[in-house]
Order: sequence, then C-alpha cells, then structure tokens
Amino acid sequence: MNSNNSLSPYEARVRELLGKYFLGLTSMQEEKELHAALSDFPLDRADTALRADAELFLTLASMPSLLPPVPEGFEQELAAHVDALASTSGTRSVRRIIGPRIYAWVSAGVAAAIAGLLFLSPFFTSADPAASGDTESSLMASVPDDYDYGVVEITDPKKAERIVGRSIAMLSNVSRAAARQASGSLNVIGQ
Amino acid sequence: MTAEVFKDRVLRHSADMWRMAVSILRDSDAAKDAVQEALSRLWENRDRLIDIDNARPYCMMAVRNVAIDLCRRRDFLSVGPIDEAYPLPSRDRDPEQLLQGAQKVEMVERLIDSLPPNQQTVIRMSCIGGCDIAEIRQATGLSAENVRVLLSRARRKLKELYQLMAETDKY
Repeated sequence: MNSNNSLSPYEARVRELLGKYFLGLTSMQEEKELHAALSDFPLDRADTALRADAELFLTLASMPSLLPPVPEGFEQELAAHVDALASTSGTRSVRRIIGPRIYAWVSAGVAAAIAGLLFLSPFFTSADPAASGDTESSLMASVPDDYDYGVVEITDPKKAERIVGRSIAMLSNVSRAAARQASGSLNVIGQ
Repeated sequence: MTAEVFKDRVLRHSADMWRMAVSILRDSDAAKDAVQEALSRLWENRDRLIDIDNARPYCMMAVRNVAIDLCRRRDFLSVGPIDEAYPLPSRDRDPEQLLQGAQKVEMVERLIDSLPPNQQTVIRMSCIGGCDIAEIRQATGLSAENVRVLLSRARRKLKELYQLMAETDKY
C-alpha cells in the first residue's frame, strides 16, 4: 500500500474524491471529475480497498447505461397516453367527486337494495301475481328514466352531489316500500 | 395545465423514469406499465406541477412509488437469472465487458435491495435518476442534511458489502 506522502497528486485527488463520495459530500461536478479520473487510473496496481471503492463507484455511475435501453417509440406511446388522459379529464366521475370511500358505500347500498329486491320478489309473485305486477310497475316508475346505474360522467360537481343525494333518498324509499310490500305479502301467505 | 405543457415538463424525464422503474422491477413490460401509471398519477396531480421549474424529482418519486407497489403486489423481488432479468443493451461494445458490467450492476442492485427503504430511495434517485441532493430533498421532503446522511450511509454500507464480496471472490 502507498503511504500518503508518496502519492502522486493525481492519486491523492482520486482518493480525496472517493472519500468525499462515500460521505455523500461530492457535487455532481466532482463525481464527473472522479469518473473521468478513474477511467484512466491504473486500478490493477492499486491496493484492494481503493480498487473495490473505485469499482463500486464506477458500477454505480455506469448503472444507467447498463440498464436495458428505453424501448423504441416509448416516448411516443407515453405522449399518446397523456393525450388519452387529457381527452377524458374534461369530465369528472362521481367516484372522484364524492371520494372513493363514500362511492364504495353508495355502491354497496345499491347492490344491497337490488339483492334485497331480488330476494323478496318471489313473495310478491306467489301471493298475488297481479298485485306484484302493480308493485313492480310502481317501483320502477319511481326510478327516473334517465337514471344511470354506472359511473356517471358529469361536468357539474354540485349537480353530482344533488343527484347522489336524491339517489340515496330514493333508494331508501324503495327499500322501505319493498319491506312494506313484503310484510303485506307474508301476511297474505300466513292467512 | 394543458397536455402539451405537461408533456414538455414530464416526458423529458421519461428515460430516467424508465431506468428507475426497470432497476426496481427488473422487467421491461412491468417497467413500461409503471411509467404509464406514474404518468397517470402525475396527470391527476398536474396542478401541483404548475409552479415547479424542475419536475424530475416528482417524476422519479412517482415512478419509484408505483414500481414498489407493483413489486409488492406481484412479488417481483424474486427475479430470475441475469440474462432474463437484463437484456443487454445493443451498443457497439465488447459483449464480454457488457456481460461483466451487467453482472456487477445486478450484484449491486441486489446489495441496494438489502438496504433500508429510505436509503434505497436516495441511492436510486442519485445513481439511476441522476438527481442531486437538492432534487432528492425536493422529492422526499427530507432536509438536505438528512439526504446527505442517508446517501452517505447507503454508500458506505454498499462499500462494506462490496468489499466483503470482493475479498471472498463471490462475484
């Protein structure tokens, strides 16, 4: 191993920059200087510690160039992706406006209401087919023709809030009506 | 922010984003997905980029977060052999040198994987993203001194592990 006073200024600079590098103190400029210095440095004649430090530095510095190259046409693909995002972001979905958590609860409520109606439908039909038909018609009449069961694309957030509020109120009414009808049908069956 | 302005600010860093994703995921297709997903997230938060001159730290952080999510979801950490994980770049360089270089990179990647998460973040942003301390500070919200300390610890730990491997000739 070389002693400090026998080091050439060149080697001393390399050691100094490597020392700073491993302390996180080098600037980008100094790292470039170190990279350039090490590319001409006779590492095969350096001591083991210096060689390992230099190899690690060079490996870290060359990582970007040794990773797989960016696929051809990738930037164009990304540009098209951004255009697609831009074309759909003029409108905002109810999910984004009311938040995913509330949206999930409302969705679960809708699903539960539908499941409840499906579960209770045999009682309506078995008791009195004509009455159950009337009930179904009246229930469906309470649902607006333009009601959208999926993700509604809208442009007016306040309007969206009003729609969601009305939908929740309507579903509550439908559930209560269904429960009343079911109760009446069960009484009919029991008699 | 218009799509054109967004593209101008963000897509210039797409190559760095790609390298960051591929270094974490080690899978080209997954890296593509990660960059696209990161772009979507950046687009959703594009208003925050309006007053920012240099979007690179945010791009790198976004793609890093998506890549780590993907890793966790798909268990990408159990990678295959080197030739499957890293298709060699088609450059006019000696294939043997390239293979040796790729093997060293693969080894260093594995050493980086063994570091604590915050050290992994700063070392990847520094080496692969080419970010300086100010940019890492901007992306992570850490102080410059914290970034420097994390960077120093990460490099010294890598040095220790690398020297250990060099001495035992494991690579």
